[in-house]
Amino acid sequence: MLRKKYFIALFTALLMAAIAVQTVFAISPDYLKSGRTYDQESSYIQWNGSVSYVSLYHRDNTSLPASEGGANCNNGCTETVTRIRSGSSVSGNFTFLQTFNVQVAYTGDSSVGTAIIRACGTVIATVNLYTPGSGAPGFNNFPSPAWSVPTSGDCTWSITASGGYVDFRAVTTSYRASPPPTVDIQINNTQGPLSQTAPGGYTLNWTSANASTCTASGNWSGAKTGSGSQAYSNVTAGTYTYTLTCTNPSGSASDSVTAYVFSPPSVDVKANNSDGPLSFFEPSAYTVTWSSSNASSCQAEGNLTGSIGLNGSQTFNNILQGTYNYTVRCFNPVGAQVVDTVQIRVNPLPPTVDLRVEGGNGPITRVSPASYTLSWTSQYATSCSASSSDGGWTGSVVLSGNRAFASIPVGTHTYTVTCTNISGTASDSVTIYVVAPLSGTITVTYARLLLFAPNLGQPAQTLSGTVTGGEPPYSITVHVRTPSGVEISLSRSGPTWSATPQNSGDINFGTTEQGIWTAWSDLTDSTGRGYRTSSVTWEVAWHPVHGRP
Amino acid sequence: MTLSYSKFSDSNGMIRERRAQSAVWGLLTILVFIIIAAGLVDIYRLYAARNWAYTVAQEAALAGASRGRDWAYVSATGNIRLTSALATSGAQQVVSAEMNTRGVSGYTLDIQVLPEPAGGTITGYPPRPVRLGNGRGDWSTNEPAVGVYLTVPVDWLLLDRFGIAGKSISVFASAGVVQ
Repeated sequence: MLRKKYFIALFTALLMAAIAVQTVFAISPDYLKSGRTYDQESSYIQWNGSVSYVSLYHRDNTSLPASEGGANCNNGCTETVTRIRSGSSVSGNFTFLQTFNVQVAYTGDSSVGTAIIRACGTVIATVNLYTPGSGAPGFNNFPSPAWSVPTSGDCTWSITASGGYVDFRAVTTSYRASPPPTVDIQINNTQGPLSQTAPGGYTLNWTSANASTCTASGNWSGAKTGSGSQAYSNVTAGTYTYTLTCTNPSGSASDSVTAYVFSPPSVDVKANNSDGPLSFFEPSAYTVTWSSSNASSCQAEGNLTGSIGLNGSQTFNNILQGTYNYTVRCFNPVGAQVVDTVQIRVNPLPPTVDLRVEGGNGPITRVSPASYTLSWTSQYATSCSASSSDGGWTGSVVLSGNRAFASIPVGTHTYTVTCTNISGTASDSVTIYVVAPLSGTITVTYARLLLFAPNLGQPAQTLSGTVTGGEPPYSITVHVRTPSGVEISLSRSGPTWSATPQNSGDINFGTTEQGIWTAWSDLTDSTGRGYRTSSVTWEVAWHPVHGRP
Repeated sequence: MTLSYSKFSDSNGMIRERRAQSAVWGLLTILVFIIIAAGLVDIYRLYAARNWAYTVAQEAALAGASRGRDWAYVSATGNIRLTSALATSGAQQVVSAEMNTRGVSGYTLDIQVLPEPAGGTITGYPPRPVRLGNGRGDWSTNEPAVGVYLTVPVDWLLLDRFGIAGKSISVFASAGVVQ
């Protein structure tokens, strides 16, 4: 039997210690209610120093709570009470109290000390709890009668053990008589609901009357003062409900406001799946599509007409030159709007131009002074201009026309007509090669030569010549006439030529007969133009010796 | 060098009578004829020597003019001229060859060249008048030319017996190049 009591006592001690440790770490002092310390220790009573629960047998006029049987303790009870060691204390807050006192135990244990009871900054009782010769401890209320709380506002209270321990069983409170509380909460000074577009921003204001405590719930939380305000900003999309509940001993009251924060609408308009701007050549065809999100309605603007939905498309065909703006404006439920536009420019086809000379694309060749006519035609152009390599033709010209040129000197003449419109530029060029008239020379190396000069170690004849003008390549026929009238011909080519003993096949070229030799050349260019040079002569002599009289 | 001719020898006889006189006259007549014949022979020899010398001079002049033609100058300028050294050398070679053939020595030779295309004038050439060729004085040509003045000694057959001193003949010949 003793062993069983020992285990029970040990278990109880361990339980008390565990609860004591838990309580020490979990205490959150709050407004005090009437009741046993053991029942409300963790919420309303703060332990300071060496404080613990003890299972105490006492005999007095108290009663166990109903949960523990509700027995009267006149004949003794054992229950858990709070033991405050010497020098330690318990404390807490209360508000709206009418009266206040605590239960501490007298005892014959000489280790007991004096309880110093404070409230609202005042020592309301100092009780020496040692009663020599008394039996079991007995709890009494101190002060008695209960101390009248001078204020309905917040106060702190405490019990300090001095000179020994103090067993503390309960507080006894009575609240002031009051009507039930009222509370009013507003959002942006309205009862709500409030609708906004994210990011939202608003202010909650609340007031209360007769409230001892106010607690926030919903999308906010925590204890609140009887009146106040709280601002919110950068609120994302969603529905937010703010509830404030205020209580007093007579009851409670709640009020709520709601804020609807909507995402901003968006819309994307595309043409042929592009945000644009786009450019097309007329006649053009394309499809305009739009899609929106977070929108409750959309409307067409600009070149997009008619009733449109939140998403859709329209196809356009045979669109002529112009600039077209297709706009969709969308709204969310709170009226926030967004606009997107795609722009399409429909341009005419790029210009074309065809420049010709003498009806052809050239190039052509003419002999100076040359004459020719240029003609040109263009399409889709809005303006045309001319230029030439010789600077003789510049400036604006008509879109289609012709121009005659005369007395053009030798050179390469390139003419260009450039036509433009909004879609681009086109150019065409022709080239005319104006060449000098075909001409040439023939020269003789030796004006006088010896008969069969190579046999005397002297040179034979060498003819040379040049060809200018006309159009290369040139072909040359060299004619050589002997003194006896025999004519020989040699063929040559190129702008310069020569007829030598080596390349003519006659080492005695031009020296085989005494007398006057004659030579000339016939020149022909690639187009068949011909030219005969002037003739050259040379004399071949023997220089005989004769006796003089 | 002198020309070598064979000499005639003669002899005299004594006439004591009329027959003898006739014989003397006959001898004298023969002597006269011999003298006359010798004189004629010497005159012929002189004539022949001069013709020969002239021929030699003319051949020498032609050879000098021919061999002295400057062909390169023709190619360069179109005109002919003579190279003096070549012309002189060519003439000398002809004269020397002929004199050696005849065994003639003691002759004198004066060769002059007018090399330029327009010829020219050499004053005092030839130094003595000659019957063949231009006379004494200023030798002029209008073309490149070679002049040969040749003096050759002539030995008498008979005339030198009569105190007529030795004779030499001088000839002058020239040749030109046609432009």
